[in-house]
Amino acid sequence: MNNDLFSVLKAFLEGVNVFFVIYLIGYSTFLFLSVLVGSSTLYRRRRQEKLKNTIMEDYYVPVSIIVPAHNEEVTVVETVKSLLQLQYRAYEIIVVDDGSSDDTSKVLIEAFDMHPIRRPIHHQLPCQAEEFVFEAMQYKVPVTLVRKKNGGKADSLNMGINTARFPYFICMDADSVLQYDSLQKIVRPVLENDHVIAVGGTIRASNNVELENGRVKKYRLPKKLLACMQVLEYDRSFLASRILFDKFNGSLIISGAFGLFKKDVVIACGGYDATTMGEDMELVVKLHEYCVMHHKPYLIKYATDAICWTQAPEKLRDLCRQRRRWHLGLFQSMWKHRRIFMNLKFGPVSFISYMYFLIYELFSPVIELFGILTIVTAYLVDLLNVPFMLIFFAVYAVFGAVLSLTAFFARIQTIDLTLTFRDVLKAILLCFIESSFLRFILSFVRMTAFIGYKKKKMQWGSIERQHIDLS
Amino acid sequence: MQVDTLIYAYLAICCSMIIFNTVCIFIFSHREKKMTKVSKRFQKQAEAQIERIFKEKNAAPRHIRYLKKRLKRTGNLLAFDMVLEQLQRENPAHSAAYLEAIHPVFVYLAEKYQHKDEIHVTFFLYILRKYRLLHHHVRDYTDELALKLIKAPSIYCRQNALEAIYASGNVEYVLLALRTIDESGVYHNAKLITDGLLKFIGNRKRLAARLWESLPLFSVDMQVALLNYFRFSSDKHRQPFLELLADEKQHDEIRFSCIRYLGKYPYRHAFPLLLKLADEKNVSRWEYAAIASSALASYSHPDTIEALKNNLQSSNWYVRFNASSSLEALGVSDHDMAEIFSGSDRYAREMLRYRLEQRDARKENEG
Repeated sequence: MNNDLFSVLKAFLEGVNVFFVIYLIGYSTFLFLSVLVGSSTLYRRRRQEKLKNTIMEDYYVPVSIIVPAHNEEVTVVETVKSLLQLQYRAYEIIVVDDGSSDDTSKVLIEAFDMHPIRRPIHHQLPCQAEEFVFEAMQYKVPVTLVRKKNGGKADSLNMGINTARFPYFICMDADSVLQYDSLQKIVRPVLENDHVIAVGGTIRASNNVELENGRVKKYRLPKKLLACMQVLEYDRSFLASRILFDKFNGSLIISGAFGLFKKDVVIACGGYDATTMGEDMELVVKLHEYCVMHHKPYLIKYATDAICWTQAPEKLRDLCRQRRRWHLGLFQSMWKHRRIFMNLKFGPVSFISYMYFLIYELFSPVIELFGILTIVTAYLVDLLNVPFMLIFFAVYAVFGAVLSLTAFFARIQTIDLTLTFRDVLKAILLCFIESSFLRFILSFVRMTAFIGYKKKKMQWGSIERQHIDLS
Repeated sequence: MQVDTLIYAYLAICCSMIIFNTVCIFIFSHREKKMTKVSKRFQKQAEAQIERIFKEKNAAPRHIRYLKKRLKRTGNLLAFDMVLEQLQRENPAHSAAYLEAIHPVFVYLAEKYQHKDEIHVTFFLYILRKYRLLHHHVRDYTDELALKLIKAPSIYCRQNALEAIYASGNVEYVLLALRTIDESGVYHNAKLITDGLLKFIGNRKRLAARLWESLPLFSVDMQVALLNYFRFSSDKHRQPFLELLADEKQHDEIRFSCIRYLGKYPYRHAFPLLLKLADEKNVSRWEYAAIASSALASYSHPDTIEALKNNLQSSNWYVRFNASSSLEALGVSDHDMAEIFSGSDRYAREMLRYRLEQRDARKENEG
C-alpha cells in the first residue's frame, strides 16, 4: 500500500479512536450518573414513605382514563374490570375502539351491559368521526365506549381527550393493568405543584406476575428469557435515566402505556400527532416546546411509585417490531421539534435531554455501524489491537450488566418485592446476556428501522396478546 | 489505557453499589425485626402504665423519662406508633387516657425534633396529627412547632402540620395557620386546603364564622379555597354569598365560587342575578353563563326553562352542555322538548337528546 495512503488511513483510524473514546466515556458517565441518582432517589423515596412524608390518600383530582383499543377483544374486558377496581374515587373510563376488525366493542358492550347513547362530543382536537357511543353508568364510575373510524393510536387518544369530562386525563394501553394505588400515586405531583402538566408512570413487565385486584400476589421473573431481559432493561431505563431527567425537568418521554396529562395544555398544543409513530414521545417534546415558546411555567414529572403492569413481547419478532416503531417515532419527534436542538431557551432540555436522545439513541445505530466498519478496515490493514479490543468490549459489557443489576436490585428493594434465589441468579446471568447480545440485536433492528418506513406509517404496534388473568 | 482505567473505576463503583444494595437488604430485614422487638417492649410498658393511670391518675415519672429518652430516635417513634395504633384500635378510652398522661413527652420531643431534618420532623407532625396531640386549650411547644412548620419548604411537612392543627379542634390555630401559609407565598394546592378543612374536628360553626369574618384578609386563591370549603360544609351563608356575587369588583374566580354555592344551596333572592348571569352574551365572559346555567338546575321556574333553552343555542360548548344538564335535572316538559326538537338548532337537539337518553338509562338501571 502506498505510504501516503497508509498514513492518511492511520490518522483517520486514530481520529476514529479518539471519537469513540469520547463517545463511550460520555455514555458510560451518563449511565453511571443515572443509576446513581436513580438508586439514591428510590431509597430516599422509600424512607419518605415510611416516615409518612407524603400526601395522605384521601385527596383526589378527578381524572379521565383513556384506553385506546384496536383489535383488543382478548384483553380489553379484563383491562376495564381492573380499572373499575382501582382505589380511587373520582375518575371515569373511556375506551376508544379505533375501527377494530374484531369484536372489541361487542365484548365490552356485553360484559358491561352498556347502552347506546347519542352523546355530543366536543371536538377540540382533530380525529376521525365517531360511529357510535355506548355508556354504562351502573358501576362505581362511568364507563364510556366510543367507536370511531380507524385512524391510529394518536387519533384515538385525541378522540378520548375530546370525550373526557375531567381536567386531567390518563392514557394507557388496552393490554395493561394499573396497580390498585396507581392513580393516587400519579396525581400526587399535581397536588404538590401547580405547574405540573404531565406525569409519567412506571411501566413494568407483567409476564409471570400474579395480580389480584390490581395487587401483586406473587412476583416472579418471566419464564421466557427474552421477556426477562426486558424486565432488566425496563428497570434500567425507567428507574435510572428517567429519574435523572426528572431532576432537571428534562423528561422527553412519557410512555404511552401510562401517563397523566393536563387536558387544557394538551389541547392548546394541538394534542397527539396522528402522523407520527411515537405519539407518546412527540407529545411530551411538543409540550416542552409549547410551554417554553409561550413562556408558561411548567413541570413534567415522573412518578416512580405509580405502576402499570404491561405485557412485554415474548417473541423476538414482536420485540423487533416494537423497537423499530419506537426508533422511527424517536426520529419523527426529534426531527419535528428540531427547534429545540442547541437552543439556549430550552436550557438542559436542549443541551442534555435532546442531545442524549440525538447522540445515544437516534444516531447510535449509525455510529455503531461506523464503528464496526472501522474495526473491519483496521483489521484488514493490520492496525487493530485484537486483544485490547476484546478486553474493551468485555469490560464494557460487564459495566452495562452491573448497571442493569444495580437498577434491578434497587427497584426490587424499594418496593417491597421478594425474589427467589433462582430469580436472583437468573437476573444476574441475563444481565450479561442482555448487555452482550440483546443490545446488539436491537441495535441492528434500529439500524434497519428506516427500511420500508413510509409504508408502515400510522399502523398500530401490536404484539401477540395474552389473556390477562386478574384472578 | 486511560479509558479502560476509567471503566474499571466505574465497575468498582457499581460493584460497591451492589454491595450497598445487599447490605441494605440485611439492614432492612434487621430493622424490621428490631422494630418488632422494640414495639413489644413499649407495649408491655404501656399496658402497665395504663393500669397505673386508672389507679393513681398519672403515669410513672420513670416511664416518662424512659419515653423521652427513647422516642428521640425516629426509629423508636415508628415502633411506638405501632403500639399506639393497636391500643387506639382495641381500646380508645385507654389510648386517650394514656396519651393524656404522657403528653409532657411530646412537648419535650417537639423541642428535640424541631432541630432534626424535615423528613423526621414531618413524621413527628404526623404523630401529632394521628393521635390529636395538639391541645385545644393550653398552648404548648407542640402547637408552636406545628404553627412554625406551616411555612416549611416541604409540602409534606406543611400538610402534616396543617392536619395536626385541624385535628386539634382549635379554631384560632386554624386561622393563624391559614394566614401564615397565605402570607408566606409558598404554593399549597387549594384542594388540599378545602378538603383538609373538612377534616377539622371541633366547633365547625365557630370555624365557619371566624373564616367568614377573616375572608377579606386572604389572597384570592385562598379565598376561593375557603369559599369551596363553605360549599362542601354549610348552607348557612346564602345571603353573604349573594352579596359577594353581586359585588362586581370581586375577582371572577371568587364570583364563580359564589355561583356554585348558590347552585348547591338555592336562595330565592339570588335567582334574578343568576338568570342575568346565565344570559351573559359577552363571549369572553362565557364562564359566567356556563356556571350560572349549571346553578339554575336548582331553581325550578318558567324563566329558568326559557333561559336554559336559549343557552342550548349558545355558541359555547360548555354553556350548551351545562344548560342541557340543568334542563334534564329540572324535568323538561313535553311541550318544551317538542319545541327544541322541532327547532333548527342541531346542537341544542343533540345536547338535550343526550341528556334525556342518559336519564332513561339511569331509570332503567334503577328499575
